[in-house]
Amino acid sequence: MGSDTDTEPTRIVVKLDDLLHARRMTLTQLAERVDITLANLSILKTGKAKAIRFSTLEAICRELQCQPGDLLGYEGEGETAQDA
Amino acid sequence: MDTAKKDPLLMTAKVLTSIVRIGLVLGMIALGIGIVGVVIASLGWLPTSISDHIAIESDGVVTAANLWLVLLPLLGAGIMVALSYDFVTRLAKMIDTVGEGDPFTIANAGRLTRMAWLALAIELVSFVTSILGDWVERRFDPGEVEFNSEFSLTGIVLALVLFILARVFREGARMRDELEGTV
Repeated sequence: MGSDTDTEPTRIVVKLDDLLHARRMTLTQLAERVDITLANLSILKTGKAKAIRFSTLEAICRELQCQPGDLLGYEGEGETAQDA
Repeated sequence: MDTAKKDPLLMTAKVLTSIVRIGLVLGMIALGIGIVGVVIASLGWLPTSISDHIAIESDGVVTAANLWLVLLPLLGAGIMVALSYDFVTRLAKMIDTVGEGDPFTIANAGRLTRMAWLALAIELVSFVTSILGDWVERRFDPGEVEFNSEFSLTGIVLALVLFILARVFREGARMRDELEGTV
């Protein structure tokens, strides 16, 4: 399972930029409020994360006052996240 | 590094491995000098005053003619010291990675495998050297020449443990890779 998914990029989209902009918050400020390093948040924001813990998801949703579905999207083949 | 100061086990390990490595290097130098000396002596190139002195000191047992017999166990010891040096050097590098907080790597798995083979090789050379030592002893009258060499099962068990540990580290490295990229 692991080696297959490594070769192609994930279809999961992280919409952290939009949420931060809407809440007028910087990544640094978010990192200070949740117990996540700036480095990890950066990895998440740039779409390089391979997995996210529920605890991380919970902390972000708490601070940005959003639902997981606001933060994460799925882009099927030929779709964009907005279409779904 | 800060972690080193707060971690007495790591500090002790680093200091001990450094001391052992220095000791092994000195041992290699001493054995090297000894081997060269024995070769020179057995080829009869020593000045007569020295070779006479050796013959007198050893009550006529050691002469240029039979000195070469000493060479084989000396070479065995030299090889063992060299192998041990390689072993402790790998260990020192692993200790460094522990200090850096990232020990579960493929490189460390490789080091452990190499250390396992070295442990086996050391036991094998030790075994052969002890047989050689016995053989050399018997070429002289009893009690005139003595070699002390040990062969123990501990070395074999150590090698086994290291092989298994290498597998553990390989799996650890795989798990660590999977964890990387998890936020």
